[in-house]
Amino acid sequence: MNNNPFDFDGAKNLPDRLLIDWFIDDHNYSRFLRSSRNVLLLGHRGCGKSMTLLYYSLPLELKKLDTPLEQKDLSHFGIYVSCSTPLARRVDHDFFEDDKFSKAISEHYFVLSIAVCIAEHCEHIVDVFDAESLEELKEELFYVFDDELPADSSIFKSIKRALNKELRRTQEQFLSFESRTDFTFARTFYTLIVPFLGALRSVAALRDTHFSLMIDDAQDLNEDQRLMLNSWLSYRDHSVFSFKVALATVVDFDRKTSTGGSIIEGHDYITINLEQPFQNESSQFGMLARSIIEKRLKNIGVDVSPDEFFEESPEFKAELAVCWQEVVDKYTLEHPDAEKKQINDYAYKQARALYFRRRSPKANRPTYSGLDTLIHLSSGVVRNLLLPCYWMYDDAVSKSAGAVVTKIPPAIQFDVIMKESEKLWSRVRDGLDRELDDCSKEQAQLIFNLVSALGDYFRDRLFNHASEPRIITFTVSERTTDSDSRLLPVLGLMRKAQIMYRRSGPSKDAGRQEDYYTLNRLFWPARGLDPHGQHGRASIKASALITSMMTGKFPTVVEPGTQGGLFDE
Amino acid sequence: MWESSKIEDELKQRLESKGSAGDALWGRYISARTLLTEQILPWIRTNEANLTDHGPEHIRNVLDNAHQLLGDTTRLTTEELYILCQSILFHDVGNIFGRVKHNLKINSIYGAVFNKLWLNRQEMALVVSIGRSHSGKSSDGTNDTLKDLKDDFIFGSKVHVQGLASILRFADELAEGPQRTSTYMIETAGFSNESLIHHEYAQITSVSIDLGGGRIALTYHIDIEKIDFNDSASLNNFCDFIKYIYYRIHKLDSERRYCKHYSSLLEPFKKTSVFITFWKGMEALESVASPIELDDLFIPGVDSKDIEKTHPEYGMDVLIPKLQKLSEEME
Repeated sequence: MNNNPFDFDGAKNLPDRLLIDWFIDDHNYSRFLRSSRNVLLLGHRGCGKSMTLLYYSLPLELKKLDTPLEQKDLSHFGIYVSCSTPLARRVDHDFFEDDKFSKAISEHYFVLSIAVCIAEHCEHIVDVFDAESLEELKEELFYVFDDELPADSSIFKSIKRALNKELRRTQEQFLSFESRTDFTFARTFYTLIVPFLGALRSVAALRDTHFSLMIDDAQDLNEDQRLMLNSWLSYRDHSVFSFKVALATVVDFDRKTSTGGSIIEGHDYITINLEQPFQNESSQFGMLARSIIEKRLKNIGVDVSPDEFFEESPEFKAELAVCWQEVVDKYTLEHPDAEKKQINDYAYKQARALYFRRRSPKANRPTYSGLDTLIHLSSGVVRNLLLPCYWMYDDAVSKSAGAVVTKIPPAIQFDVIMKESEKLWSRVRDGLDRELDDCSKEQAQLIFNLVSALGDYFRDRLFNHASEPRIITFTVSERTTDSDSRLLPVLGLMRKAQIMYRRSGPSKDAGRQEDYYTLNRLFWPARGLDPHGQHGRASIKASALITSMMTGKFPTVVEPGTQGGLFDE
Repeated sequence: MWESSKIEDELKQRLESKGSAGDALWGRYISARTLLTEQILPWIRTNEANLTDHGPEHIRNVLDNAHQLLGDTTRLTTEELYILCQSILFHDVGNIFGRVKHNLKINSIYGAVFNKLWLNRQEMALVVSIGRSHSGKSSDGTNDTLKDLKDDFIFGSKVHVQGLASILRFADELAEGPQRTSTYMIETAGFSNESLIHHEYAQITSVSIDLGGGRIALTYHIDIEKIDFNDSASLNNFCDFIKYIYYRIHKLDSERRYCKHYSSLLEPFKKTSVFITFWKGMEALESVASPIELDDLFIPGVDSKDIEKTHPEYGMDVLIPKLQKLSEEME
């Protein structure tokens, strides 16, 4: 672990204490994650899903307060289960054509890995069980594991050992199963997990405990396992356990169950969407981002505000102030009766646009810097916020000659932002087929074309659009089945590569929702454009996007339809 | 422009496999559908301007629901599937003469659609009797309209009339939602006071048919932004609306159990699941109460379906103060 406060390593790799220190505790999450309801945690990679689950898992709950184990609150027992391990998603079964057999094998592996996690978590509290409880547990668990277990503090170690032995045996025997129709050996959720949790509830210390099975990275499960998990989510009785499932929104969530049914929001689960609606620096995400930076600075003993630490270039600020004043003066002259709010709204839309329009094409890039700019560049994803901060801090330390870094000069911020922006363009130019298994070379070219054309489109807006120049979000209009079949797979790949983000927002038809798309804002600095978006979205015809995708050029007709709204980006 | 539904696609496929006789039946179906969706159903609104939608979109909705209720249409014979689709097309046409006893006026439209040359009285008898039983009264004056129906034959094949009528009736009951009303008309007081509540109900309702899960899932999104909790008139209106929702939940669940009694094809639907979300403008209030499940359990001597009794958290005395508190916290 290095001393860079903006370390962005995955939550699973962080030491427990650091995770507790860094986590921004939103009490809303706590209310849901400690409840007995099924919860689906949605968000892009890097939004903090794993961190949230880990923060409420039992091992970390125990470390949060410095009280003796026997005084700990065990009413909620969070069991963290990662699906990004080979155990959870064993693919061996793909070799088999037998549908029933492969389902059985998939469930077998998945439930064994969950059971191992339960046993591991129980090891943390084994000391709260008295001799009588351990004896009772041993008796109960004999029927689950068909094995003699010790009635002492090594009971969970033995269970883990037995489960791992079973896993190994399954793998060893895997290819030698003579009859594929015989899968009586296979464990299921109802023959392993339910009785295991039931046995734990039979002991005095856990009599009123609710178990949350926290399934992380559920998008990594194989198809059978996903269907199974959905079936378990539809299990109605939540008196003993419930599920808290984290799912990266790079894939569309399939709500089907293995029994042909479907799970329905509200009825079977509630959703927490970690993709915060992100309009500006004072939005919910903007505030979260500030809190994260503030906490991380505090942890390394730097007592300055995030805005001071990531100072905005004074020259840029001054030039912007001039543009703001000019816009205000012009508007006031043309609208002498305008109210202050109207003037501010107009300046909000136009001042930054004026700054970018006025710059000579031969001038250097604007000095991109300041916390607000970093927040905008993150596109609303925590990891995207921390990554440039990490490199900036690293640069600042190497240039500080041993002195404590108390702020990052705008020049360093600018360098890192430009480097990261160029890197992003290179990724797309080189072809996403190099990094995405399911992206063909042709699709990679379509993606590059679309990104380039959208860059041109939003550049044109910034420089020429009269009323809404700073819009950088769009919706797709005039969709048809044909256009969807051509466009959506490409947009899906772009989301998977995190160069495009999709959020849901209100449509023009009252009450309905539609998808809002935003390119990763880190694209803009390399093109000398403004990553600060404004409320509102452009409505782009599906046909225009398809032409862009095919030719790399946005059709010349500028879409007139824009609609700004309170909740628009 | 009518886009065919899955159930119609399957009907077409099955009829086409029967050769020229099947082609002729498909032709009859298309003729009827074209005439009804262009000449009759869109004009119901001229006579009954305050009704929720009973036009082509509603018919399409009922066809889709029937398909979802069945899951697999091979559980019906081709002839039964044909009669079911025809009956769905015709079940609401009587509304063109006005809402009252609309279910009894199907035959005159049927006669007009299929002129004498095309008229098939056996088919008409089935379509009319199935269509009639989706509402109204039975021969003995009760609401048990399905009991009067008897199995019959058409084109040499047996038709389980009660089963088909049950599917139509339940599919029609489930055809509810914002698609049946107009937000603009509600907001501009375009509907009569008496019918307003039906439109407001449609506006907040979402129905999911979950065959694999054995349930009908009802989801309600209720906006409390305009409710003034300190004004008794506003509060009373709101309470009346909530009670109306409970009444409709009860009615839908009763229909589930009733239709299931007459059709084994509906046997999988063992419960009605209800989830109500309250909103203040664009912000959802935290979960006010857990989802409700209404199953087939009946305890003698107890009306276990009265939501306010079985789920006290939904009683007005508990729900209203809770909503008021949450609403105030969000201000």
